[in-house]
Amino acid sequence: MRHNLKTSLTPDGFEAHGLAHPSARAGEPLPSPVKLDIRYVGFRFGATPALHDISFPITPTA
Amino acid sequence: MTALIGPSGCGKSTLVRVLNRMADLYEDQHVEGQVLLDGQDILGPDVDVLTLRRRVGMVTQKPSPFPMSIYDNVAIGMRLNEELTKTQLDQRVEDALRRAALWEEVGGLLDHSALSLSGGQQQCLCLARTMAVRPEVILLDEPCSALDPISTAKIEEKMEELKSVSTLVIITHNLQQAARIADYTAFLYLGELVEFGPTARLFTEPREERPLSYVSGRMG
Repeated sequence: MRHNLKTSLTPDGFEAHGLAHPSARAGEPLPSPVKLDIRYVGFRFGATPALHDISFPITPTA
Repeated sequence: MTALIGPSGCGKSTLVRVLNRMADLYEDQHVEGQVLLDGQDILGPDVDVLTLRRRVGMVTQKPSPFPMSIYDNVAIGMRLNEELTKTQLDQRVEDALRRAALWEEVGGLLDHSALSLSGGQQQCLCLARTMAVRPEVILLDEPCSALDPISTAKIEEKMEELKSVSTLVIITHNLQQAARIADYTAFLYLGELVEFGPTARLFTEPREERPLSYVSGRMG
């Protein structure tokens, strides 16, 4: 099942539906400089955890 | 541009509200950790929240024009944050409306109520209002969910242009939209960051089963 799904989601598959990302289509490198860096370890509504250990960088494209 | 995707209730909006401290407005919500904006922890106690929100702008899912003129809607942020002459203000209002693809439609109607605009025009106006103060980061919480395809295409085109001047974070339930416009995508599920990576890879070769199920439509 996984193999079939991956096959249907190849870049060409998205390309056929007009969904390929321009960077992927052109083979251009993705941006690297970090602007907003989430080093996020938790968020609670009262005592209820809402987010857990979320960390990732958000980068500008310019 | 980074897209946040995932099923309803996974924490996308919650996370975005942390990024400009809107979460502070909810008494029962508590944030721990660090969010660094150019190296500065914006969750720190010494951060001026109003200044932060000028640096990190936000466009919400539902258009939220103020009950005032089109001109005043765009100018209000600049009036609060900058000292500009009337000529400078006029120019910045026009620039923002042009960048939001709205100038051609409303350039002659600036004194009209913003509430008289269509839903799509109101959302473009909110984008113009956000861009007018020239934020370094713009948070977009499902900005196109209430828009028709033509308005959506306009907003997406403008977002592509905005990428050169601002860091963009977009929440979207529209996977095709994420695939079209985002450089990176984060997949959240029940409050956890399951996978983060270049959009093309996450959509074509996700490393985890859950994003694969989500992008393939097996999980809603």
